[in-house]
Amino acid sequence: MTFLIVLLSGLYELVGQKESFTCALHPAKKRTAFLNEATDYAADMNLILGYYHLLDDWKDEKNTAKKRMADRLRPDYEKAAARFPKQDEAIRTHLLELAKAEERKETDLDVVSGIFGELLAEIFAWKDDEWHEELHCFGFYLGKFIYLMDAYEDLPHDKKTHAYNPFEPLSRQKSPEEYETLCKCYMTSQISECARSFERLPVLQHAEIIRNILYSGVWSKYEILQKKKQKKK
Amino acid sequence: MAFFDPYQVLGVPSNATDDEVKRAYRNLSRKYHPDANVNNPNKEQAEERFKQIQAAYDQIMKMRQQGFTGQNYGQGNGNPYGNPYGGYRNADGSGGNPFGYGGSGGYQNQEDWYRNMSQGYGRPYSSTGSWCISMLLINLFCNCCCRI
Repeated sequence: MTFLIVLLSGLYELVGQKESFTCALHPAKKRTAFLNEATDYAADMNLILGYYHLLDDWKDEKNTAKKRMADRLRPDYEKAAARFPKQDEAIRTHLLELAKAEERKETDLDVVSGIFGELLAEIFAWKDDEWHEELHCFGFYLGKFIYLMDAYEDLPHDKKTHAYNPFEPLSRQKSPEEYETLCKCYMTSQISECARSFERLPVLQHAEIIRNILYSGVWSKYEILQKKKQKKK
Repeated sequence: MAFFDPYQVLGVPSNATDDEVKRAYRNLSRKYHPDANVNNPNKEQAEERFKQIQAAYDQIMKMRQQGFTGQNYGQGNGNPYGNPYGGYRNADGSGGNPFGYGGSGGYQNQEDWYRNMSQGYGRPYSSTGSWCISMLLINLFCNCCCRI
């Protein structure tokens, strides 16, 4: 969500204010917060996502602590959902679609990652304005990349626990080298479309930070995983 | 269809960098955006101008991403859009494109050009497989060039 704040702040050139606050987790020293419209929006999106995540955990694991947290979050969630009903509806329906795809063990990478892509697309398309379509496109491909990267990282654990993973059929059917090449190819194709979309946006403020993330930072987790695999060999 | 020079609309030369185009867009949109002209008695004209600025920016960025630099924009060769794969060389050294699309000439208007060039987003589940095949084809052609 920090990335979303930086992107929206750069695109809309938002003017914000600095505030000092005391973090509940780090009370010893006052912190500085930079607040603007985008931080308020991202906070609402975090709230909505967090609320549905807690409900999912309650539904899947019968975790009563998560249910209690969801109940406490509900009043704030309802306010956020009232401010952004389109995003709330999109998150709810796409999470349901994703759960169904995972339940039927969807093998098509484009379909299953595309559902998460659509979810993130709706979050990134903040306003119904001239940048709606481009932000939607950006969020879509970023969402696909994030979903595939998480699936790639979780594959060893999911294999052990027999949990659904969209890369599992590919890892069975291909040799390890082919599997790694295809995974890299799939993920690169998504993030490169995301980067192309970014370059079409008239972002000048924070552009270099965003480029750093899109062209390099998003691969940090992947590089760490590759190093671990090399060490194991 | 009336000829539309997006570079003229934004007030930048066709060899302007992407940042210069973006800066020009930003400066003009600050002036003509509907939100900045709420109390302007000429707000309809401002909105119309803003739409032209937006369309010009969109066109420049999309053309540039398709490989069209705009260097020959407006030159009287019957096709103002040039070869979208400008710079790409086939194995025999001739210019062209490896994917069987229109290439230079043959487009009556920019809608036709966009319709042919459009791929990727717009189809929510666009195939990564075809992207991979495209990359493999490009590598294959590059290897053929190097061996000649």
